[in-house]
Parts: sequence; structure tokens; C-alpha cells
Amino acid sequence: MRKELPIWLGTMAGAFVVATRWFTLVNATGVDRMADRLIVASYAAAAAVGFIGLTRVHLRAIDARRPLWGYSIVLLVAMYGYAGLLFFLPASAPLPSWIFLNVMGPVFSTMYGLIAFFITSAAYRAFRVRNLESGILLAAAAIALLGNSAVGGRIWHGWDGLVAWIMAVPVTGGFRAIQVGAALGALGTAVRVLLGLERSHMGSPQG
Amino acid sequence: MGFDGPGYGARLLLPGYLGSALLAALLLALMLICLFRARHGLRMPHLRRLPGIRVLEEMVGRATEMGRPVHMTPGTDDPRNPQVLASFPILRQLALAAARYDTPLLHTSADQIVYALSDATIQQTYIEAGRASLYDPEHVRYLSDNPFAYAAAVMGMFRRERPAANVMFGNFGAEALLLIEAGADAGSLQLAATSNIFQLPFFVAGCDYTLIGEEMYVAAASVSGDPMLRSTVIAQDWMRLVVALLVLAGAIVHTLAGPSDPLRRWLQR
Repeated sequence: MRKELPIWLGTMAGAFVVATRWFTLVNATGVDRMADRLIVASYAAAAAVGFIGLTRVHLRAIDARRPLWGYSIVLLVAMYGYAGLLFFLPASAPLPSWIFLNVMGPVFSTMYGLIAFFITSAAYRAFRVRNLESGILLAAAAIALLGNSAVGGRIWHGWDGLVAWIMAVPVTGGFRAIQVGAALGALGTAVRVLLGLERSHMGSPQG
Repeated sequence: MGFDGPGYGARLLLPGYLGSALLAALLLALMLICLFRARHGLRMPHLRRLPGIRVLEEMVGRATEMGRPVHMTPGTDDPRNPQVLASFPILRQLALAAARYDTPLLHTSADQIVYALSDATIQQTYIEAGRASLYDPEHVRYLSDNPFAYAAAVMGMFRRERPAANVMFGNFGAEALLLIEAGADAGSLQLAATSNIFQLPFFVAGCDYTLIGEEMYVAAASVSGDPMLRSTVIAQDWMRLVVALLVLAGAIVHTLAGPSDPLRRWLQR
């Protein structure tokens, strides 16, 4: 019963919410909007799990003097300090806004900026011609690079048309095929979960 | 709440949803037929085992030989995304292998609820494998719900703990490449699975094995070897055939009829 009840509840609630997307009569009940609000509420409660989990992990790290434990102190001070600040001030107040924009902004920009360099190293590994497929990939990438760089235009003016064709025909065709397959797979997963066949996410064996 | 527009209340289906409702009903019917056949031991088509699934055990074996951990992430989305739900059977399979080989399984997540679900899944799997004492709650980590903060934490972890295998199974955003390169730098054997078409090229470029789009859902359903779950994958394949025929029919009808395409108008009713 401990395992069956959540599955039955999930199936009933899921089927009802799915029905709101298609059937006018069920849609009029507004149960999907209520479910959305419940999800938001459950996330607010679950935030506490993350808060407690982080505190527990980093307190243990400090207590055991694990490598780089000093950063655990920084994390706890920042986390509790900022949360404490928001008890007294709204998030839109100048001080919390200043901290957020001047700390988080540069940090995230730095992380995003790193991607440019990682693209180069990933491309270096990907563009080694090991077989026919990687050869085609290399050729397509070389054309796309030439078509999008100034030097390409100096060599030949036809790159733009070639790049446009690659993007509009093989790339769009491939993307759409993947999207159709993924949509069917997602639908299949949803049905498996609703039928109670797939229950790994509940810590239970499948079937 | 309530009805909008004239004649709205007289309809069974919401306007514009006939096509999707028909396709969903057909998929459900095909799945039920396949489930019936599997339950009664009737003949079913053979399912090819995906290379990305065959390699899961090998990844844990490699980590065991090297004396290093295995890392798994379900991406940076929440459980409302089916890609995240599809990651749990894989997590279960990895946890089973990790428990069997006594190899640490590091699991990181970027969502509080995914963290709680993953923790429960790993703990339960270790108990079922009879290795409950090997379960370490500190190996299941919620890092941050911000993708870049999450990626930064994982990159640091990779540098310190150098996992021998890295399984990325779920939905990823721009942080995907950061994780891939950190894994490559740590010398990890990498398996990635996503149906996010914008990150797929990075996974294909940077990882040793990639499951593309629907393959991740197929892997999730077939990894356990349960015939009931595998039968639903066969239904999905039949459905794919139906969609392909529909695309072909749509192309022919649209070419012949032009903008007044009756098939499209009927499906969008």
C-alpha cells in the first residue's frame, strides 16, 4: 500500500491534468492551474531540502577539515548572510540588488565566457577525421565557418548560399526528425509513468 | 476558469487539439496492445540493445579498475521534464552496478526535488542489492539551481575527485559544454543523452557515447530488461511509422491542395 497509493494518486492526478489539455469540460474546472500552483508551493518547501543539505555537507567539510574547507565557510557565510539580509530587506532594495548584480553578474558572465574556449577544445576532438561521418561533419563545419567569417567571403562569395542550404535543408530536417522522435519518446515516458509501469523515480523497481 | 468564445461549451475537445488528441490516443492504444501481448507471452519484435546502454556496466568496471568514482547527472531541469524522469532507470542501473563493484557513485543535481528523488532511488537500490552499508549520502549532492553555478561546482568536483566515468542523462543548457570538457580533462569515459537539439552537437562532439533524442527514452525503458516496459518501446516504434506516413501524406496533400490543405485544417480543428 505504501508504494501503490502514491502511484494511484499520481495516475489519477496526472490523467486529470492531461485531460484538461484536451477536453473542454475538464479544462473548465481549472484543475491544471491549481496543479501549477501546487507545484510552485512544493518547490518552495523543497528549497528547504537544498538549504539543509548544503548546510549539512559543508558543516561536515569544515568539521573534518577536508581539502579546501575554507570555501565551505565562504559558502555558508554567503548563503546565510544573503538569506538573512532578505529577511529585513526586499530583494529589489538597493543593497541586495547591488550584491546580486555585482557578484552574480560577473561570475555568470565569466562562466559563460569560458564556453568559447571549451568549444575550441571540443571541436578539436570532434573534427578529427576517423570515419566517413566525422569527415562529413568536418566538411560541413568548415563550410559553416568559412560562410560566417570575413576571410570566407574573400575566398569565394558562394559560401553564404551553401551555408543557408546546409542550415535550411539537412540541419532543419535532422532537427525535426529528432524532435518528432523525442516528442514520441516523451509521450511514451509520460504514459509509462501514468500507468505505473515506470517507477524508478519513486525508488522502486520497474514493472 | 470558464469558457471563452461562442460555441466553446458545445465542443468535446479544445479548439486546435484534434490532431494531438488523436495521436496520443493512438499511442495509448498501441501501448495497451503491446502490453497485452507482452503479458500473455505473445511474439514481439526483437529490440536492438543500444551501444550507450551496453557501455554502462563497462563504465563502472573501468572506474573500479582505476579506483575512481563514477559521476552521474540528470541535467539541470526539474522532474516535470520527461528527460529527467527518463534518467532514473539509468541511475538505478548505475547504482546497481556501483553497489555490485563497490565503486563510489557520485550524483549531482540542480533541482531540490530531483535531489530528493535521486537520493531515495540510490539508497533503495543499494538496499535491494544487499549493500546498504555502501550507500553514502554525501555522494548525492544538490549543488545549485543555477546552471552555471552548478557547472562550476561540478567542474571543481571533477578536478578534485577525477571520476573515471561520467554519465550525463537529461536536459542541459549552455552549461553542457563546460561539463563535457571538465569530464574530458579528468580523463572520464563519457556517455551523454539528451533530446535538447541545441546541446546535442556538443555532446556528439565531446563525448564517447551519445544517445540522441528518442534513444534516451528507449534506453530508459529497455535498460531493466523488463518485457512489459520493452513492449511499450515497440509501440513507440509503430507510432513513429504512423507519424512518418502522416508526414508523407501531409507533404503530398499540401503539394496538391496548396494553402487550402484539408488534412492540416482537419487536424488543427
